[in-house]
Amino acid sequence: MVRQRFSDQKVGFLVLCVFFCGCMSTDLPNAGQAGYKLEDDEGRLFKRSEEFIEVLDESDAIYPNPQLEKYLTDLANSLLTDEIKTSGPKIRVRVLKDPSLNAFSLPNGRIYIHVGLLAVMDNEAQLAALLGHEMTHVIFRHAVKNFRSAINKSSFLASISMPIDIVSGGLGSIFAQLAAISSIYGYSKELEYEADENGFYMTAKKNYDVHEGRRLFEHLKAFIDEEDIKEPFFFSDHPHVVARIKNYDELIAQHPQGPLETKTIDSKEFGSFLDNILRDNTHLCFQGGFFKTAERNIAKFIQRNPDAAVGYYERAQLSLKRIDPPKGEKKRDKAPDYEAALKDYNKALELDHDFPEGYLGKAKVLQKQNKAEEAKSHFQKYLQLKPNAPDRAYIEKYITSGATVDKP
Amino acid sequence: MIKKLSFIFVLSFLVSGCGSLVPWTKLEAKRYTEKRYGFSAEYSEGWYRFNAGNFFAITKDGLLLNKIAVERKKFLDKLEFTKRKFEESMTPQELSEVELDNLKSNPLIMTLNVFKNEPATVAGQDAFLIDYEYLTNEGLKMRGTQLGFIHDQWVYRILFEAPSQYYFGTSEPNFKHFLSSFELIGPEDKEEKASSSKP
Repeated sequence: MVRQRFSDQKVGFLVLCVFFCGCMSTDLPNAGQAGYKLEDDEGRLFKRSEEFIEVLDESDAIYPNPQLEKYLTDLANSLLTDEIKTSGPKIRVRVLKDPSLNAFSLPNGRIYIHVGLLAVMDNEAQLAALLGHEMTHVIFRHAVKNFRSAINKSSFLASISMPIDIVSGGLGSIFAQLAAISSIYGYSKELEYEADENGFYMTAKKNYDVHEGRRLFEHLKAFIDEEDIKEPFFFSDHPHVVARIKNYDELIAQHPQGPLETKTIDSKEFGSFLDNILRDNTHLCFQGGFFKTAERNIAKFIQRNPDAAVGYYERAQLSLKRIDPPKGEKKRDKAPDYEAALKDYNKALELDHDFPEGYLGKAKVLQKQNKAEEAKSHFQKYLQLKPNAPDRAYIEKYITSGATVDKP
Repeated sequence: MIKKLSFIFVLSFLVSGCGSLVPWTKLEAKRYTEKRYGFSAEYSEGWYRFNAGNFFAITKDGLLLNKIAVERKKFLDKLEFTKRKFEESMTPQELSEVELDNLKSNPLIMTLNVFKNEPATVAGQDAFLIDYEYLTNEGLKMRGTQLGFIHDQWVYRILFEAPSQYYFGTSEPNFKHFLSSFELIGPEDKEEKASSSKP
């Protein structure tokens, strides 16, 4: 009985604490709407974003392609209304050298897209769907709403801990943590759905085929399944990708677009960037060990460029990688396939007789197959075509040692 | 009687366990044998061995300021950052490529410059040597030298890393001395389950 009374008193006390601590409003006008002005805490989020941008922009993480950035930024801005363009945060899109399928926006209008996400896209309509989604986070001020919502929850938690330690923690430290979390690690389920929905309307309004937005989600789902990874933060850890696809289907059903042939899907401009994106992302996939994604990239590249030696060269490189089966699958690891690699190196050299890396790759396979003389002549050809090769010291050693694999 | 036995048990546990509970061992300028890691080498006076990690590491001023680390990996063991793995059939150059991919996949590294990637010899084994510098996500410039080679069923990884400013230069002679004295110990020692040998 005493225990019950104590408990009742405690609950009453907590309710009072929550009541008096007050909640910060999350009901804010969108950027570009009447009454829109930067709130104090939002200004601090902007400042934090700028600091983050400063570090990121000076790092190796940026994919160096100003033309691509301009194209993406112009495309993003073309989806905005004049009001937002005039009074909202300035939108700028940059690309990160990362093969995973992610994108995120910062509250001050900076959007980062991973090159891996661009590589899976098939057309401009898919890109517009992504940009619409990310820009909605900015326009609808999701960062500050998320921040305030967390602060309100923190106030509740602070109320609970108050009797124990009134001064424990502090807004400063919570702010620092939440600022980073809200910008990069995704938003609540509701805010993500809101971004999907508004992104959908933005692309539909500009006459892009909205079915392409759904296809983007399918690509993302395939990546998650193939590489056996946690869902990327483009989805956050909230709405599951399958649920997002379902949500998109409902939007399409509610808003039929009319004849598909009148809709925009692609532009020549997107395609002009895609080949380089596919090649660069293949290297990033090799680096991170995302071999299934690399395989899809290369297949897409060869399909688009059947006469380019580099596509077959990359496929040969992939044949030499050991590929682990997905988690839980009992299939044996895929061991390096020298014959398949050799076939593709030959194809690459057939298409381009002066392709140094083709000779190098072939030499290495011949070396593994203990065909020392043949390997040696290919190593020599490589150095002849590329006298300043960064791996010259290794190659010279192979040549002088008879191009055999050193056995420990 | 049971109380007495318990007391003796606890006492013997505490006494026997003291050595391994010490996180740092001060080193002398002499050759040490590290049976657990399969090598012996000469260390410098005033350096310390870190005993609490699951890897071999020595430092003079703290692991963040200068460290020499040695690790042996089994083929196909998982690496820290990349999903790529070391394989038995790899040449030193291919090992170096995996090692660089691992470095490039480290999310804490913001900018990586590779000054050198070339063949080397360590303890009579064909190896790779990578010289690099990177900027951490906290803005600290670190310089490193990494070597690797295959011996027996292992991939040996030798690392020297320190902040570029001051510490790399002052600790590099100690690393060069360590490396030039580095020897692999015989296969008869490699099965021993003992942890790092005590000086």
